Amino acid sequence: MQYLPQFELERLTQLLNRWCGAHPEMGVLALVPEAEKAGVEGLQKVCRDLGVPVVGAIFPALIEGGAFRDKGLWLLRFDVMPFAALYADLPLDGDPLQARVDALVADLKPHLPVDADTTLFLLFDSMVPNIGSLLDELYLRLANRVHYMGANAGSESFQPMPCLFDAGRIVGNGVLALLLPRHRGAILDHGYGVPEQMITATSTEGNRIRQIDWRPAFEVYREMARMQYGVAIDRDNFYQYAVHFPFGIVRANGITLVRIPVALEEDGSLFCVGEVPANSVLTLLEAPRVDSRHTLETICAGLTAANGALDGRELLLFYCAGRRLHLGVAAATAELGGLFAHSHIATLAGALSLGEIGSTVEGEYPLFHNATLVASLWSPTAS
Amino acid sequence: VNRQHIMAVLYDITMVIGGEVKVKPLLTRTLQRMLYHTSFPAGLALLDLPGDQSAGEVTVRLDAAVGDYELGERVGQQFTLPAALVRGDAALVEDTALLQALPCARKAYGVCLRLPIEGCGVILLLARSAPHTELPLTQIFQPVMANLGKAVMLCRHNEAYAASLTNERDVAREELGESEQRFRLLGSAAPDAIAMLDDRGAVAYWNPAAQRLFGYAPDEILGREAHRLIVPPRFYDAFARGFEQFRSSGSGPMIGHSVEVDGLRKDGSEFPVELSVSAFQFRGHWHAIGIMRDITERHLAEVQLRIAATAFEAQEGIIITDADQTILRVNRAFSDISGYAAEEAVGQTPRLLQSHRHDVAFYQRMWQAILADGFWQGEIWNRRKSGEIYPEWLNVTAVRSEQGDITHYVGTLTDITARKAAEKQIEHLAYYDLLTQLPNRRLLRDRLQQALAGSIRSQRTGALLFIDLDNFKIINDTCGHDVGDQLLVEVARRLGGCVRVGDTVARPGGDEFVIMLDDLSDNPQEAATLAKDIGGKILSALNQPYALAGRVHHSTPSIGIALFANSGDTVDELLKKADIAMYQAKSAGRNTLRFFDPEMQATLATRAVLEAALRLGIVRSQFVLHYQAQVDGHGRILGAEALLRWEHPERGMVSPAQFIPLAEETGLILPIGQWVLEAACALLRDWAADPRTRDLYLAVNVSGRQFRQADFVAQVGLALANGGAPASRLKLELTESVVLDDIEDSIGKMQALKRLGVGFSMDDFGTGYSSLSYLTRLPLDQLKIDQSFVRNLPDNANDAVIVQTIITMARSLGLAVIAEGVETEAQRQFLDRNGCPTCQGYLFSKPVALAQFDQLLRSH
Repeated sequence: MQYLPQFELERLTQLLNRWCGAHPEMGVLALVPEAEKAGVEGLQKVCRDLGVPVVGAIFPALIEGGAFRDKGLWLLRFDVMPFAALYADLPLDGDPLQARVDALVADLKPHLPVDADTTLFLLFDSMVPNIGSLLDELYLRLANRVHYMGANAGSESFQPMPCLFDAGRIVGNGVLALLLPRHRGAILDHGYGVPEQMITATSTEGNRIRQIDWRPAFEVYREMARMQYGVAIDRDNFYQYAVHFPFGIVRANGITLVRIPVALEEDGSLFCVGEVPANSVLTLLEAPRVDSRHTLETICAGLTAANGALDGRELLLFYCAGRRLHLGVAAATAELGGLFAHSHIATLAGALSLGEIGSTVEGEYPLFHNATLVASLWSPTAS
Repeated sequence: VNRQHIMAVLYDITMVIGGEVKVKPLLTRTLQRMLYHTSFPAGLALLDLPGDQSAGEVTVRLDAAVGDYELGERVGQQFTLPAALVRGDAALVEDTALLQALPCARKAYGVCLRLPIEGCGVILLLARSAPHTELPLTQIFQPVMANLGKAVMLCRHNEAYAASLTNERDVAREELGESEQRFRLLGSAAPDAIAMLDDRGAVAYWNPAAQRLFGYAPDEILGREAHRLIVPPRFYDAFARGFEQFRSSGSGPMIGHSVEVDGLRKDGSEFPVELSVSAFQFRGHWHAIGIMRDITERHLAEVQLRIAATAFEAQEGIIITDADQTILRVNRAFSDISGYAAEEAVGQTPRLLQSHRHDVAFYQRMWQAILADGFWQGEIWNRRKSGEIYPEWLNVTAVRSEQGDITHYVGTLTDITARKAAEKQIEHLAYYDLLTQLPNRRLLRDRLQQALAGSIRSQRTGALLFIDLDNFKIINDTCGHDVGDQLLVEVARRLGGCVRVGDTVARPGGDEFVIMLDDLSDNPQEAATLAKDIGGKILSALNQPYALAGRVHHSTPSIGIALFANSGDTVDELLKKADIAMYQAKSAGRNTLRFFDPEMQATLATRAVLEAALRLGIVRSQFVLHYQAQVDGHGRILGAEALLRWEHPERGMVSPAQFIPLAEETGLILPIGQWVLEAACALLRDWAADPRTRDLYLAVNVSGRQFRQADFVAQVGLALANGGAPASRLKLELTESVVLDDIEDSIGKMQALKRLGVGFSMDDFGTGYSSLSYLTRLPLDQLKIDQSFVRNLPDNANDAVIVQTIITMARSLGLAVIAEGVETEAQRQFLDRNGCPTCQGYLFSKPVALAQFDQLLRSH
């Protein structure tokens, strides 16, 4: 994996040429910060010219070393390009969704190795509203044949933006699927505490909560914020507070799924990052006191359990933009530094994500999260 | 984790369970949510566990599996598992040995959360090691499992019910499908177009025949308003009205009937359609089924049949027989012609009509033609039922089968009795004189032609008699045409009595008759004698008095006879000879007969040459006027008589006696007379300009034909006006015969001219009637004593008395008198002594040219 501080095509070309010399069957995964999205076409052209397979995504920012970067470019090399496919215009539900998942699985299956661990690495456009449902459908078909990890790309402004690309296309409302061979998935954690107050999302549509307890979602949200935390949230300060008071979807194992509200509609419905299933039992998470230490320990322990010691290895990390917003850039950066230090890894590459996919323990049901760190080794058994 | 968290998990799973209606999704979704909540990575559901043994192995069926790929592949299959694993209360089973019995090689599960489904099975949640949780999972899921057990039962009921419904539906659908298939096969196989219209008039069914008939494929017409496509626009309103009634009541003018309408094809062409419409109610709405058939061919066939039927009942008789000539059918015209009713003719053969006028050979030829050519036509005599034999025009046509065998004969026959009669009538009109019923000129010529040819062959002599009635014109003019016609008829009758049977009596025209006596004798002399005898008989017969219109009339003939034998004469030449002979008879005093004289013929030939020359003379202005002085008792010239002279470049001066009669006869006298008048008037104008001559008068002879012209008065007036001549100096000389021909007309014309100032002299007076009765009526100025009376004066006592009488008469009438032809002094003195000093003759001057006359004037 190679970070290029400047998105310069000439340097890019030189690097790829050099890699191609050593790895003729190579391919690359490119992580591009939103500020450099204009360079994607050039990148695609260089790769096409060199015959290098390329896929990639545009994120709000990149993670390089122990810091967030708005500029530059990550090129993650595959010595042999694995299966990668870009699917645009995903259907919302019903038979079209089933058919699309069937087609995706049919594409994947011929490339699944018989014995070795394989990770299905999914990069979604964050504007896809039904990622949770898509994961459910995938898990029903592939079950434990693969590990699951992934993140959401897109603009931090949550405005629609084509953010997934291959050598010829750049698309939105889609998913980029890669099969990472000899890979044991990712570890995910957020460390948000769970309050006692429960509410029920009585009307939802994808990632939009229309009603809570049969009342307009925002009305209940601001009432709970005031009752539980003494915070007066109105339409004017909604965007300022919402990131600090996300919803939690309660699970029996005590781990909640975080859903950060990111938009307030005129009718009082709330848009979240990530799908909220109908009838989900929600809790309003109090300006979570993030237990960074626990998070980092959980991640490192999980990775080590799956992959062995991390010392000197390359780590791929997706860090939730909402979490950075909640903690603040300084705390978030400190968290990155903590991970870097705690894990003794050689390289930390990654991106600021708009939602994360993974399991809190290895082999667990794949879930879509917010406000988490999702980490995996890059070429865990190869490098 | 508090109580509220448990409730949230249970609530979520309960909602999932309640949301499913089929067993497999129920189990799968429930497993999904339980894995989601518990962090167990895999789970399976087994239903219908057999027996209740708690040890050993039991055969199970895997009903659902989530999270384990290998298990997922075996859903629906049966395998054995330890009873200890699947039976028992809810528990966390950590017996690896038991778990190894699971049919999944890839995952080695170390722990299993067993959750019995109340009454019907078990759920096993699998993990390598137990996931962290603070909840007593074995207890908290019990209500959910109870709920799930009921849900499974409900889903099964539901599925069974749905299956039964599906089965019933499938059976019904199959039956419906078969029914529909039968219907579609019926519709597809139907030769007629079938269309079904719903209550909006839209096409709900359209079979292939309809597509072939109208040109619209089903996808082009189904669901569309039928009348917009297949009904001609002019019928839209009527269709809309009819359909509106149908929509509300299911009835209408077309429902239940078969009607003929006009259809419209996709290509815009129209065609006749037989339409049968029936109605039925479907879901409370009236629908219509129309069965349509293109009846263009039928219409054409009907037209053909109508034409054939009309043709069969035409004016021509039609008879149809089979190949054995047995009559199968006849039409009304046949019955009208033959007299046989259809039932009398059918079953007979055409021999029924045989007249026996034709021999066997005739019929043999007819049938040979029919068999060879398939057709015969010609005239045939047949016999009516009444026995009357009549002519008919018969066409016989043989009708052959596709194999060429004769199957029928069709005869068409026309009664040509009337045509034959008409032809005969036409022939009669063409060859016979209507009045006398005698052969006319045309038939005469034909027969004469034949006779001439026959005489050459036979060397026998025949005769042609040309008969002209001498005074027919007088009788015709004075007694009227009816009497004239009666005379002609009687003459014809009498002539018929004078000749032999076989001789031809003809009336070529007017009062002329011609008799052809053919084959009289091989001796010309004898033939002449016979002809003369017959001629004599004719003279005798025609001289007998005629009782016509209540009065007795007399008429005599002049007969010219020309003999013919091997003379080489043509018909025209022979007729001309007889004509000439007839003129000879006329010349001989009439009421007599003459044989053709070759000298007479020569004279006539000369006459013909002269006529031609006369015509040329007019054109070439060969005529001049000579003037003979008229003097008083003292020898003073009072005027002159203009006398016509013909100066022929070769013949020299031609005598008026030679050409005037010919000019009269040919009508050439008219242009000549006109010229004379104009020349005379021109001279009078010249004389009027000269004091020496202005008192002279000029006498001009007027011919009968000229005077009888209707515009004679105008001609004279015009000549005077053009010449600028004084009318009082012009004296017209008329003969008695001219004036008396039409006395009233003559008086009128003379009076009109008299008013212009023109004077009149009666020429040749004394040679005619010389009746006082007309003399007193005529506006005469002068009598001119004919030279024949003067010639023998004074010695001939008769002539002297006549001349004296004339002079006395003139004097008594107040008329002047002049004598012509005075050649001697003795004559002059006699005339002068008896009161006629005015004379004209060689004694004073012969007729001279104008220049000489001028000289004569100057010498006086």
